[in-house]
Amino acid sequence: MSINEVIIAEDVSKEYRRGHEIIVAIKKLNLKIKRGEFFVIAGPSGSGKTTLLNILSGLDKPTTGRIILDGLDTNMIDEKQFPKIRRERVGFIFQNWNLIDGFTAIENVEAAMWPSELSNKVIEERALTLLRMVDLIERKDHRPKELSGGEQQRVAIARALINHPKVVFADEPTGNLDSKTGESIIKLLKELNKKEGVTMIVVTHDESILKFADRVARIKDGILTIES
Amino acid sequence: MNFRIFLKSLKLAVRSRKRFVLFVAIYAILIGFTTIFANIVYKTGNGWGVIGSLISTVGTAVVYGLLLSGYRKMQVATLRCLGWDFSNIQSLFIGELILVTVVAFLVDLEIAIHQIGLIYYFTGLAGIVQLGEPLFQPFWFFLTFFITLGIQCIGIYVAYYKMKKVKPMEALRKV
Repeated sequence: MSINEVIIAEDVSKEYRRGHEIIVAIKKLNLKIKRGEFFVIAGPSGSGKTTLLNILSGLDKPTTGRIILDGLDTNMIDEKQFPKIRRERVGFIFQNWNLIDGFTAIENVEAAMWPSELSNKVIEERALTLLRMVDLIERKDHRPKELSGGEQQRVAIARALINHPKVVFADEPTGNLDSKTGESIIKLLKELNKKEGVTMIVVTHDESILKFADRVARIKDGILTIES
Repeated sequence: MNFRIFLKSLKLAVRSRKRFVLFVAIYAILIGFTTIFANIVYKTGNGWGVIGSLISTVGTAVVYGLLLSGYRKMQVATLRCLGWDFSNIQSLFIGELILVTVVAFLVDLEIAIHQIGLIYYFTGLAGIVQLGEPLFQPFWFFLTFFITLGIQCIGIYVAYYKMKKVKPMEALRKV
């Protein structure tokens, strides 16, 4: 195992049971994603993209095979250890942003670090730095419903980065945005990928995102093919 | 319990204005009635009223726990993706449930103080108007408050039980 890879998937398969039928969502997947890479997984709806994201991020376990996430075999990690691992190594960006309505933009960013041992001051400073980076410092005290879709996604991006993650998983980050805002979000992700050196794994059905990727993989009927 | 999250949960509770006001009102009524009925038990030995109020309080705590866990399902899934463990998420529920009970108690306390003030004011007018004895007897009032606070543990347990079933993967579901 090389330290250059942040994710290694070895012979990963995922099966679901639906009544008497067994659905194979992921078939014998082998994949290595390098540190600092901007990796895009493209595919149509129902192709297994989100299932793959769940497995790569350790949210779900594969039926067979194993995932090495930042040097840790996810099959070997105890369920109680996962929150700490997620808090320290992983960031998530969701299609629906999933910001908490009752919190302001800065509180949403900080929330990811509240369970940590860090002081409020350290957390606040990091959150302010990130909000400055995503150009939302002037909107820091606004609640999600007072922000546009693009602004909410930028808050979500800042939240995903607050813990200095090794890898950020983005599930259809432009799915609920118009094409212009969507492109600005992807450009921002690319910029942060370069600036912060964080690995980005973006799952999408949007072909316009592919040009920003270092490598593209396509998934169809649970089979992954790496293109470039 | 994570104290930082507990404090944030108080803020979150107040910001969910409609739900907060509704449950403060319900608990204020329940605490008020339980106190009055407890006083009746003390004086007459008739305990049906207080049993009814306590059952209503337990029912309200269960409904509140269910409502909170349902309303916050997506939030819980998201926070679990962000690395919150169950005790962190529980702190988020505890804050709201405790705050609602304390504020309801303060509302009743305010009513009780005003009622006592009125009684003394009118009694001072040579007994022209008789308002009777204070609505809430202090001993029963404080006892009821602490019992209601204790009953909130049921609400916290209900919310916790429902929340434990929420998988972080649900945050990635498309709506």
